[in-house]
Amino acid sequence: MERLSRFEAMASESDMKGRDFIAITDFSRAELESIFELADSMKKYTKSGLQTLHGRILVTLFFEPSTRTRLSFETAMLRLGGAVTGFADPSYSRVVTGESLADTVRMADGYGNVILLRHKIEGAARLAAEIASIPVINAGDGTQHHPTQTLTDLYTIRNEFGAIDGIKIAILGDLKHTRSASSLCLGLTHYKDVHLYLVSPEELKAKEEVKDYIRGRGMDFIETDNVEKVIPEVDVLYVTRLQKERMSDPAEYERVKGSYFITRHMLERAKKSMIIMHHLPRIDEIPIDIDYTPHARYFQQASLGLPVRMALLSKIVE
Amino acid sequence: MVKADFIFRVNIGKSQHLIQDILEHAEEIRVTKDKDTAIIKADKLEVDEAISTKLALLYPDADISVISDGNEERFEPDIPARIRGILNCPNQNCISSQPKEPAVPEFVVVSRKPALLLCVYCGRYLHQAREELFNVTKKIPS
Repeated sequence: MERLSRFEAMASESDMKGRDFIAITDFSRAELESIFELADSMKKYTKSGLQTLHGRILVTLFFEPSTRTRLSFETAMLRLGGAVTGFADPSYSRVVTGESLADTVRMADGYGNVILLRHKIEGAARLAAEIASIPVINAGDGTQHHPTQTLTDLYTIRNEFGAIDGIKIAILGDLKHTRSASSLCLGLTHYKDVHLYLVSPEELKAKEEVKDYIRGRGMDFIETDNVEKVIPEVDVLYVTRLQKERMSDPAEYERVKGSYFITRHMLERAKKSMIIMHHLPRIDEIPIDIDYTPHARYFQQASLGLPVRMALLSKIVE
Repeated sequence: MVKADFIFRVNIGKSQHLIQDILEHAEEIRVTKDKDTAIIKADKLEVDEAISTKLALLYPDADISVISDGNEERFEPDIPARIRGILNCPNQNCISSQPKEPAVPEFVVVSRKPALLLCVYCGRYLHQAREELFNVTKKIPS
């Protein structure tokens, strides 16, 4: 364990202390870059640790399942010398007796220094941020936002190509229900000359609200349902999972099931440097033989979630 | 705030009762024979921001006049930049639609004609303010 004043200095330089993180658009490009720079420095400490958040407590309120987001945040807090409390399953809390989210957040606000909230209801994190006096981090709210996944995604691209400006990226799959896809679209608008392809079956197209936001920020995009035509063009192929649990009509899932997936044959025309990303978990959209191609980056992407989340916590926890 | 008598020129049909609900202090509402004009008599009617917003959203095509001291003038109900606590979000998966949670429905006005609202909680558009969405029961002090 090490206490390095350098990290404390980097973390305290910003005016991000005490800020909530509900949507990727809450932070400016410069603020995102400052998180990435700190994440670069944190990489060395993902297996050892620091003591910069000693005495602080992260309260995790997970009303929906999670593997990567929860474990990486918990690990990040522990690696920074802090502690973690909370629940990974609401059936172990008073929510089962009908306690409201607002009351649950009030309790967490009294116990911890930062709240991490995942909920199936859209806007849950924004309400929590209105109630809590400590920072609230949105770990996913329904189909709307997943800003820390986007932080990880942008950091992965930056890590791979050295920059995000000018990147050619295709986001493939269930763009209607996947919050990671919506958040990434919003996050990319921070950057210049991004070529964005939104690739999906007709029924799973990106939300009108997301597309209007992108247009409003002056970023062009192309919508298509043909992934094979797009693959040779792009630097990044970002694949998403069908969000069966968020489809209101079971027939909708049956209609689109198996409508897109990646094969090795499709990758024959890809650029050598092209990388495949995925927010994970995957189902069948990326078969396991793709894992052994030089394009696969989704496991490294998940790993990079740790230094990024260490950096985020360092920036906002007081 | 406007205090006056109003004349509505719009095909109000079955919505006569709705106008009465909105203008709850109206003393009398008469509908012309062709049923497209409502004469609302309300000597002390006060049209505040909430009423004005409801009129503008529900009757975007209405031709509304006010009669004050015998003079008739056109009245343009206004829509503010943000609308809070006046109409519900139609998204049942929005936190503001959950009865137990203290999230008061709130929208940013993206455009006025035609009206397009964006829920600040769930980020969804509201294209058309239907009658039933105005039944907001949450009254939480800000």
